[in-house]
Amino acid sequence: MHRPNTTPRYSVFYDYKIYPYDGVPELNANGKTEKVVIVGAGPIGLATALDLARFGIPSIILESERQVSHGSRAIVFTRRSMEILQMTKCHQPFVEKGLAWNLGRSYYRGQEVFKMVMPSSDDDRFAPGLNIQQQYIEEFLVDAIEQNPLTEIHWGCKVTGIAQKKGTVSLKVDTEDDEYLLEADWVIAADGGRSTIRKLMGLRMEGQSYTGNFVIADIKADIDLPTERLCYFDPEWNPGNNVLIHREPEGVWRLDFRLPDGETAEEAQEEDLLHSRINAILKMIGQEVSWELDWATVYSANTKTLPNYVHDRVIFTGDAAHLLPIFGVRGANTGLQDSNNMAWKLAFVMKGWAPAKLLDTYSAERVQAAREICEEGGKSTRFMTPPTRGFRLLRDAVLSLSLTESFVSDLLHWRTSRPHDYHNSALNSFLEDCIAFNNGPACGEVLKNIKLGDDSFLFDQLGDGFQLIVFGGNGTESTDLQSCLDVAGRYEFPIQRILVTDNLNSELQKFADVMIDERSQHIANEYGAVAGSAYLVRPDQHVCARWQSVSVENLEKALTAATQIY
Amino acid sequence: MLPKNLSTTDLEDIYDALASAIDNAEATNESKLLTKLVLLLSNSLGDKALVVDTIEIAEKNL
Repeated sequence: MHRPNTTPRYSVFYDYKIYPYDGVPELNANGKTEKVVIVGAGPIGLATALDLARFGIPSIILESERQVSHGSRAIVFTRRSMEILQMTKCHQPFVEKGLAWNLGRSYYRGQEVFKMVMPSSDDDRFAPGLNIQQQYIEEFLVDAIEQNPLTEIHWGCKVTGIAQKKGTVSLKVDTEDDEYLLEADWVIAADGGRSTIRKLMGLRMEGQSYTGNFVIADIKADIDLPTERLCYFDPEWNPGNNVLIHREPEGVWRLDFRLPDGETAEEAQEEDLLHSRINAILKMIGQEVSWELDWATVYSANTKTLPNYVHDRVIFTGDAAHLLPIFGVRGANTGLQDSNNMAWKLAFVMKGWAPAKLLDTYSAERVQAAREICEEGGKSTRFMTPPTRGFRLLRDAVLSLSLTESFVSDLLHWRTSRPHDYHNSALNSFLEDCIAFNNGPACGEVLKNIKLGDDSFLFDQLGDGFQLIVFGGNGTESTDLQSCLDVAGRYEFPIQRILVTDNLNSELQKFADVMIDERSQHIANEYGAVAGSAYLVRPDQHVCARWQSVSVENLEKALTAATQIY
Repeated sequence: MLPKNLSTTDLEDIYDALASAIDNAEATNESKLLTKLVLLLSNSLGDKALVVDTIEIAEKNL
């Protein structure tokens, strides 16, 4: 019998709540099969459930614990992650609690040797970075889950076995009552880096683990520094290593530093040693203030992925699918892009709107993304924790040169998580038409947000399914556009029809779900569009086709490609 | 300060290649490798003054 810890975890700033174990009614209903069971109530499992609910797909989440995760863990959400949360309409608490930032600095021998301002414009609703502890991330997502009639969490339910038969998955679930069998049409493995599902299925990741341990120590302290990413190389108290500092909400600061080679996790967390190092960091940054330790842990860097994320009816996502380096804030941000890519595809398959092979594109696209992140993140990792003598020598040489030579500064870039581009996706079409544009997001790229007015942006107008964005105006009423809008409205699956026009009396608005006033021509300029142009966009806001001049025939072909209905 | 004559991608590739070469040379031959490299690149550059000035930059902040 599984008995999770029901004592609230210790924290100097967060009040842990014990969620109820309410039994699992489904486990008592013999023969009942769940449509979707998500294993793991971390950020990615929770986000997946909310994303599936956008398309009317119910799910239950099984979580072995009875409270949110221990420690701040994933603390930086990128702009893209916030845009994904906005799709499930649960972003507002994050905006209110989190700390926005856009600037990072690196220091060596007391000198600033690298500075990066992450890109931002008036057309972006969200800041490039938002610092927020994982406890709050999970709490806010759990709140959204509890308010959604299609989602529920069963706390204190630990998955201990899995078996697949044709068309169904059987899970063995251990609870404080007993062990049960739960049948599901689909299982989403979102159970994190130490995934039980991955181990039970005997799946191995490809890639590399790096030597070199890091301590994360969260302290509550009255530190007078702005909200920026700060990195210090080769500090006197920790020669040859580095320190990262991030501000978190509630007066908490994350100190993240590499350990001397050979030091064990146990040695590193010995109280006196940890305290002396924290004090050394505070002295280094000129902030010798009193502090309280909230949480400390030791981690190491990996660049690993499963080669395939879909195994019959079991789908892997987030850290269960890949282990990515912390540098560049890769973990949860990549996981959210995974779940956002997967949810609409699974929903379309379950609704009968697309064949099962649509899910193969989730694996193809996200495995490619993970491999590219492993390669890109690997560069940052080799700089932060050089794995060999050669890489250490190069790192030290670059740091030395950085004091006088700017040409090496890009080598200090931490390479932040970014929205991944699916340029090679099987869901893209009309690539010749795509390259005819001189501006705007190309096939595979995420739509560009546009500010429409006070607290009003293009992304606020997007629906849950596909988007067909057409550009009218110039006093013309294109019959092709009218036909396309009309045809798009007749599909079984949702297609939001958005008319962008300077003609506010356009007859086309009868065929559109949303009309956007484009008298400024700003959207057209940013999208390289003219009257008659159109963008076809997937439910995860990635462009899959675009035309300077759209026709019904081409639109229908593009929708066929985007849903793999051949 | 020297101008930036390489793209970031090229610089990253050179970084990785050089690190691997140093590892392959092992510690006993590391200095010889790097010294050979300087002589080879100097010959490719063909500019004594530039090489001498660059050696002075490399001597800083060791």
